[in-house]
Amino acid sequence: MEDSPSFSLGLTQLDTNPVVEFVPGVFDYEEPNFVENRSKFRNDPNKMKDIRKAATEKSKKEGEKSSRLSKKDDSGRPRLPKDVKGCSEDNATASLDAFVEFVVNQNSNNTNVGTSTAVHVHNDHMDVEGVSANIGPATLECLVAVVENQKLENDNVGTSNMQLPLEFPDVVVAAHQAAKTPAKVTKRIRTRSKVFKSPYTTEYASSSKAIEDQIEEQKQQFAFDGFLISDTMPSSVIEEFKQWVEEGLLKFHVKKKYDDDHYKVKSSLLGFHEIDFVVSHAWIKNWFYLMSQKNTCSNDEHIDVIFYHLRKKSKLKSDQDYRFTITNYFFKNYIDKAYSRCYEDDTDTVLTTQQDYAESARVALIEEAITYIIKGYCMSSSLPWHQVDKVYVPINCNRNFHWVLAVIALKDRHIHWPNLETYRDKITQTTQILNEHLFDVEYVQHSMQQECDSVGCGVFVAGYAEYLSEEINVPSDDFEAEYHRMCYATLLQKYGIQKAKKGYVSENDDPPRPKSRIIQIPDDNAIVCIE
Amino acid sequence: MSGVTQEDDKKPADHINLKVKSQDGNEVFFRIKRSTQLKKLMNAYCDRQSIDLNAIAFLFDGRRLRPDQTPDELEMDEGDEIDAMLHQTGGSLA
Repeated sequence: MEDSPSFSLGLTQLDTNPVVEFVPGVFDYEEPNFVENRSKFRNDPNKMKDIRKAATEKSKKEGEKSSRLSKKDDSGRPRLPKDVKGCSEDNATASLDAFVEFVVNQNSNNTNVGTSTAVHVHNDHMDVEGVSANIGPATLECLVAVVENQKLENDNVGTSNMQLPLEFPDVVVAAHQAAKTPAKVTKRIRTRSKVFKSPYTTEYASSSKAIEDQIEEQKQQFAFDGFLISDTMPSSVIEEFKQWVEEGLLKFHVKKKYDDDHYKVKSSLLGFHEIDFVVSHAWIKNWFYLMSQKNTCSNDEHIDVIFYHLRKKSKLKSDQDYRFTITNYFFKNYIDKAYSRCYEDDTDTVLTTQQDYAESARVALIEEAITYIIKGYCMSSSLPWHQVDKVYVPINCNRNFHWVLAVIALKDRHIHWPNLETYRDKITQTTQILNEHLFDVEYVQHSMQQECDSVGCGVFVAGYAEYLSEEINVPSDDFEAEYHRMCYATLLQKYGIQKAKKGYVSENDDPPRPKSRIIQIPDDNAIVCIE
Repeated sequence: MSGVTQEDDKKPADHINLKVKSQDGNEVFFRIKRSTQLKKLMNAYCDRQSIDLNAIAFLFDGRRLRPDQTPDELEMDEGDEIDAMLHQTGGSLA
């Protein structure tokens, strides 16, 4: 830390003279140059008093004029090369630096702080708000916590960094302090985010290591990041996955039932607690095994996870013209419920007022649930329907043991049933709801169809949705269900393991679900109490 | 009255009422401590409905619940709804 240049010495000595009480609080006595200066100032003759008074008064006026930051005074000084804004930014950055350094010293075991220091260094000379925005919430809290005790010292460090302190008339310094510190404090109080650990944090404290690490393996934002359905996955990657899955398989795993374990005891463990796919969790290898096997059926979890990642893709690619979202598989359940309540109850049954009231409340609840889905509240990473062109609805026809995909084209008021042609008759009973109003229902002809004896309709539905979402023409034949199944499983496995190992957490930017306006309070005896 | 009322504040604050809703619209209300693992609720629900725990998925806001999560962890509010969905599979036409 350099001290002030010599030409300012005279003024400095004059300025600091009357504030002997103020000095100890603000300035660091251990700063050797400063002590030296102070002793010089004490020896200063009285004849300089007049000049000093004049200087203080002058700067007082100016100091009152400057409302926010006293450093505006400096703009008048010819020797400061920077403009007003640049100066204050720089100064603030410098003191921020000091802040962060201090906090790091205080909390050297806190990894978040380490990261934010690194971030901060790169952001030097950005404006103050920018810098503070780049500092993780944990650091901010630390800062706020220590700022009460440490602000004076830090200010000192900050200003001496800038080679300014001794040139400040004390009034200005005081005003500067008064203006600066509280502003910082109020700005930085933020509510703690749900995710305590930053997804960007690595286990390394050193920033250079962290960068190396990033180069080594790029962080994926979702499982299918960088891989389109039309891309061909290198067979080596698939082989690697196959090996991983096959490790520890039981001898007769193929003949096991869906719910049964397919692995030897303990060899189905992943090596960490679980893989968090947000909408579902995988904690054993069985999950991936079932997903990749050609002769198993697709289960709702797998479909849901795939569709969650497709949703995420759609949400992240906000620059695309074509936008879509995908509903949960149980969206249809809500529709069914609403339908049966609203449309089939045209019988002659006469309801009492109370019954009618209860019934309407129930219908309102179901409708509310549907509305929330449409508005994008209830599903992770979904987009509200007014922002999208098409909505893909995976539908499980439980009675028929089959997955189908419906595409609701909101703009054209169309519902397409892509992979439905041959199953049309069997499924008409589920479409009657959608047939009623507003939307034309179209059965898409000549689309890819699965072979009759295969059980791959789940992956067909997923693959079809992805093809459509990429606006790629769906191949009319030779959709290799087996290959795509393997692809999805491989992608999820790679992504999941990376995520779990590095401790990444999916960001949760979903809007909070609005509080329901309808709250049902049942009789006390109808509540099951769990102690 | 078994109708719709606003929140009543008689209950202690560390308990909340949760509603578990099955696929066919049946509802069961549970009162549970905010810090209790949902495992208990799931078991109680399955016992009452005589279903196998493995046959259904409990969903909150479209996310599958893990048995070791607690209402506190999930930031559940009074009257929140949990969907109990039968696992759905689909392969081909039967």
